[in-house]
Amino acid sequence: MWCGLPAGCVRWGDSIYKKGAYIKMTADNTGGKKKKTSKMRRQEAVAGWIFVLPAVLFWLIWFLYPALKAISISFFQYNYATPETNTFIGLANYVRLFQDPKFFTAMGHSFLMVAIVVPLQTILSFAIAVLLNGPIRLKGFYRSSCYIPYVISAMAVTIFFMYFFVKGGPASSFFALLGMENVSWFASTKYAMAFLMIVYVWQQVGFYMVIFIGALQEVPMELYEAAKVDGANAWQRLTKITVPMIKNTTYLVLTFGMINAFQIFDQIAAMSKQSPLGSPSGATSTLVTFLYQQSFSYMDMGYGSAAAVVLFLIIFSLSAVRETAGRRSD
Amino acid sequence: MIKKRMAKSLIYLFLICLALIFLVPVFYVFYNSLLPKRYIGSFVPPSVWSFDNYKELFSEFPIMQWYGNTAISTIAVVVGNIFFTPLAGYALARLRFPGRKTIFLCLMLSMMIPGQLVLLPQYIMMAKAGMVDTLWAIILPYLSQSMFIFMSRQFFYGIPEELEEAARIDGLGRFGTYFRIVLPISGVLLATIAIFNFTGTWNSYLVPSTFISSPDKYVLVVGLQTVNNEHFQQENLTLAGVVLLSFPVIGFFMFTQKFFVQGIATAGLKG
Amino acid sequence: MKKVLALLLALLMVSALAACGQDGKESSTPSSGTDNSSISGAADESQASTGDTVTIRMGGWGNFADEHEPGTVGMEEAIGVKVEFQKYPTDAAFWDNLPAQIAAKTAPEFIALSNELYLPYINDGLIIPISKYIDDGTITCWDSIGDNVKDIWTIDGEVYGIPFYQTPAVFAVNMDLWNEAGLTEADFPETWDDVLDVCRVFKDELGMTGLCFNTQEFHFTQYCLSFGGGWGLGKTIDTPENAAALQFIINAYHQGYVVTPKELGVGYDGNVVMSGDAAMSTGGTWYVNDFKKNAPDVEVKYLTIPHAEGKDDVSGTFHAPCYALLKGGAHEKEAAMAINYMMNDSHDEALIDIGYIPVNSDLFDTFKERQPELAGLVDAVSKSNGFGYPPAGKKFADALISKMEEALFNSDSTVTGSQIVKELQEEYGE
Repeated sequence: MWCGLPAGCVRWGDSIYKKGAYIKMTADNTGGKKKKTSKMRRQEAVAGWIFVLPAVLFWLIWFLYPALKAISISFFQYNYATPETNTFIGLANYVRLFQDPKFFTAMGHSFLMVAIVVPLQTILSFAIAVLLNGPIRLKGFYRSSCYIPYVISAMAVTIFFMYFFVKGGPASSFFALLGMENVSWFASTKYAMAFLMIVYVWQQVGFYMVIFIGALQEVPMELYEAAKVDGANAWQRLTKITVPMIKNTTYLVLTFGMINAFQIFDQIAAMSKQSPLGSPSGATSTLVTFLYQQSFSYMDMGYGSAAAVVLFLIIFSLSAVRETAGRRSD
Repeated sequence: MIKKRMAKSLIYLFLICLALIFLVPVFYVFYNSLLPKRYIGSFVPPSVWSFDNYKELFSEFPIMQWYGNTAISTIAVVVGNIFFTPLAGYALARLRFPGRKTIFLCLMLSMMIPGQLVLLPQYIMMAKAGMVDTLWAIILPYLSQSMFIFMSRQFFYGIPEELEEAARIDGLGRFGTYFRIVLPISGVLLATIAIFNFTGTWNSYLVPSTFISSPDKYVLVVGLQTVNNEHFQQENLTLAGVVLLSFPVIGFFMFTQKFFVQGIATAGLKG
Repeated sequence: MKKVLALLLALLMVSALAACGQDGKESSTPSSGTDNSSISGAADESQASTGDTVTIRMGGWGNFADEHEPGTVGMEEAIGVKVEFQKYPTDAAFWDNLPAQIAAKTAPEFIALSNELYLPYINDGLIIPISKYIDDGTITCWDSIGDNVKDIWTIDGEVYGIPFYQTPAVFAVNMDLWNEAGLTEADFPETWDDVLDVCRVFKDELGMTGLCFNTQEFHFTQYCLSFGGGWGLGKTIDTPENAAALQFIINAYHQGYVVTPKELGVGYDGNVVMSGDAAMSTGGTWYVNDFKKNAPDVEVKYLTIPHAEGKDDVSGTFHAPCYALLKGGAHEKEAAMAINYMMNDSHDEALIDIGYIPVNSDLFDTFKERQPELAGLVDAVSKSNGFGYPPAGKKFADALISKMEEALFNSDSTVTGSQIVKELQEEYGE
């Protein structure tokens, strides 16, 4: 389609594909064997811009403007329908947030969710991916069955898990044998959060499994063969070859995992059914349900937007921390 | 030898359990969708099972039209993402140009802001452009999603550069290299984007329920919410609806998941 | 050269985007949308000024085919106004988006509005008074409406909506289970203590919970009113009657007489009575329609809501939804005309068929005739009350539900009814 820019400019990045060597991938392609001419640089820059232009345009139109607008709303007492009464109140919404015990409960739940769910789903999906990447018959069937929960709407998944965790249902009876109360988990202030996590992990594992399988297939077989010759056992091959080789993917899975876990919403909405979001009694309220309730159900757009901005800042700073920590370990 | 066989059967046993854990709930929903409302959640003999819930859905609601709307919007969004996001991801991973890091950071920001926040400002923009209550409203803003740009960028970091170098020595420019060399070996990436994006768009509720307000333009998820009465729920119809909603996506996955393996094999990169 | 070409292509895409923005109305749906031009607000205006017929939109959710469509038959010919239905998937989808729709001028002209959590919308000015159209004679049916229904929709002297049916809350009994437990019609409960006695029978005879209690504000309010309490628009939340009502629920629940739909994973009490997980529930006349369709062989009797000992003159709530004008509509007058037209007899008869009592008292006998099992409810209308939720509306309802969920679903909870009403009064009282 657009092929045929002036040819012949070869670019050297650091080769990430050296036989026998354990591959090191950095976030930047720095260094190079040949000095690039300024003409080549210019061509590369132009090509780069053309490549990202559509994405940037979409971003400017459909994201940047609405997001700035939403952030500005957080400094107002705001209702879309009554523009004449909207007033600038500075940081008052934020001050109010930090005096609202419900906000802190919601924040606590969000952090708990991320802290438990992200490591759990990463480990599970990695383990399943490794298993299903091996010499197994009917791979497609197993992969599909793990992925199926993810393709079904979260609303539906939650509905059918509720049949299993209903009082006297198969799952709650099983856990009762292990000493827990035989109650409907989703309607118990004690177990609702655990229920939510189970549903969520069950649904997400397939998604991350697919990503891991994709990465595992990229690992060159000869690395394993070489390691075998050197006498490395299966565990060593896993930890010394597989894990470092798919580091980029693990980074992706952790980042997605964190962002998604902070933004979990559909499952909570389905669990709450006709009750207020975060039911029973706020046991499953999170930052997102909090901001949704405030901005939409209670028509307090400014307050809800302030909560959203705080949530964004949390995700942003955690990503930044992860990013710098990741760099240092390289 | 025996030990090895034991280990193997253990693995299969584990896998079968795993498959059951994932599949049983799905079949249970299908079973419940066959029951009249009053029996939902209980075990009853097959004589009570019927497709009445499905019949009612099809006869009382424009299910086929909702399917059509869902398919059109989903396919449009998936095609957009398959085209735009690897393009951007490739540039961000491989090409050096001023502003690259800033752009990546900016794009990442849109993943971090809760979608609910930008929904209403988007709605107002959309209304000014006259797009509200048309399928454009649920297609245009979602043609290039940052999540997939991020995914593509990570993917392209992992692709060997020798191939591209060879291509350029052969006289292909950057666009040629991308479309003729890089894309064809990116089957895994494209399939992954397609599956994830298809799933997400097909099942999305909040966005279409905000932007679309006439029943003839509903997508399936939104339409299925309307089977409930003002004062009471029709769980039986909801369950049948869930099955109708889910099976095209399952089919789509079955169809695309082959490419995970093929994409690699054809590129001749294995081993 | 090729670079330029690529750039041009990119530019083309940008302009295509912009063009979509400009001409969205004309290019409209990629789908085979049938009559898309009249849907969006601006297009609608231009159409209206050119033709004789004005097209307006009515918003709402739920069952349009039975509840609203029968009212619009022949309207276009009669008054030159055509109503299109803008159906929202759920009430939440409607209220959540309404402010933005009003701002964007895409909101419908009028809506069907329940008399429950409507105060915040009126106080915020999203619903505008309809009084002037009563005064100028556009709306003629107002005088034929019963006083207690009128009162609900008259706030500070302004009328905000024209109610189109009324239906008192009911106490539904699953007669199959009732008979199975060895009970007869003579055992029908009149007071809440009677209900507890019956629950004991169900527990002993069938080992099941007799009473279904749905943890929603609608049901809490039935108990409070029938204990002689009520919210009084926020003035009377902290009263001994309300405290006693909530405490009654808490106690009965912990004694094992009550099951909640929430625990069973369903959202609606009718399902619980239908599936036989409980024999009795507070509910509404919508049960009639639901059972007729989904469980025709289950016999249900509809009683008036039981009351507390010594409070013979009280009953539960009644629903009296109305048609109300939304802020920012382009055709206010036409909307008022449409509302007036929709208050016609054939609409009333359609509503009778689905179990709702018309607001026009002339049709009470027709109702009793066509819905014999609900005939007794007509007399309950005069004893019934509005919901009287405080101005905080949904915020109050959510808080009430959350506090009660804590009391019911946390097995270690020691929260009492009087604590709950006290806290609610402090937070949401007037």
